[in-house]
Amino acid sequence: MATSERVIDVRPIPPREKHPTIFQTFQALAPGESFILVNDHDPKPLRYQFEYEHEGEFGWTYLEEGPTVWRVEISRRGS
Amino acid sequence: MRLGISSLAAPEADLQELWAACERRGLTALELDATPAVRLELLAEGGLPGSADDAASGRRPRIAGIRTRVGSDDVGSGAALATANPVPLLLEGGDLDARLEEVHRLVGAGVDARLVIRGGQAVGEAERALREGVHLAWDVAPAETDLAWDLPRLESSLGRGVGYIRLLGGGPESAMQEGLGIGALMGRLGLAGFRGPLILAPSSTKYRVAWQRWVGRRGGWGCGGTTSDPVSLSAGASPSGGSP
Repeated sequence: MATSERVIDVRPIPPREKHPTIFQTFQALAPGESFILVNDHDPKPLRYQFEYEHEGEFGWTYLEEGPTVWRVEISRRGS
Repeated sequence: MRLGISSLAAPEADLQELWAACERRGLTALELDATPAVRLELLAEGGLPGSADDAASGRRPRIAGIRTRVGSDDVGSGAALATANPVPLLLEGGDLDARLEEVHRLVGAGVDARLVIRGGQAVGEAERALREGVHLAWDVAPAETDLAWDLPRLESSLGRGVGYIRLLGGGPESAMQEGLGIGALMGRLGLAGFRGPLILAPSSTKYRVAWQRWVGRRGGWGCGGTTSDPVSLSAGASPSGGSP
């Protein structure tokens, strides 16, 4: 069950701003906090980027997996 | 946050077609603005098609708001629709005094009327409206205003006054709006816990063909690849719509 009230729907964001927006949002979280990402496709490339840049620092939980909308809860783990 | 579209995105589409478009795009909100195919007076008389169960069960996107203009013949019909459903009635147009007077009159009659603010005057209008206890709807026009300037000032009122947002653009225009602050807007709305409707509408009638094509088909919104959504406008594309 989603625990976050913060929802970032990236669908209207210009394509090249989506990932930077998501990472800036992640950086704004305190340890233990999370947000829900809403997208129109499975954000696997984003996950790979998280794994590369924030290995061990984030949580990733699918709340909805298509076929039209994907919702993922992304959390910032405690330091 | 509930992402949706305005009926202005496809002026020739009736309510059923708009609902179908929302479902194709995974949108959960629909704003009704008078168009050739969406006649507020007819909807006020006959009610919304479909059943209340459909809306309650989530089988169709929810009506997020009814939009009308100061002095328009649609104000009465819009107020009746807004009250019957019940959803906010968004009042735009005219000068600030006229808009506020009309909003106060409608609120006094039991309508959830909200003042639409937009552009460079938005912050000043918001401050006055909030002093008078009026709820707001913010039309975000990235091409008209500096979001980096307005956003922090309006953020302080988000929890108190701005519960409804219309973004002029997005959809097929999103690729053209790079650098205008939409990413920052969406990120900060998310962090602030914004839970209201965020309605996409064309920023100009010159993009109507692109919007009608975008509304009429299933597909992604674009993640940088030029082939991901062929109806998206790219920077420098012809306003008649479509990628080169």
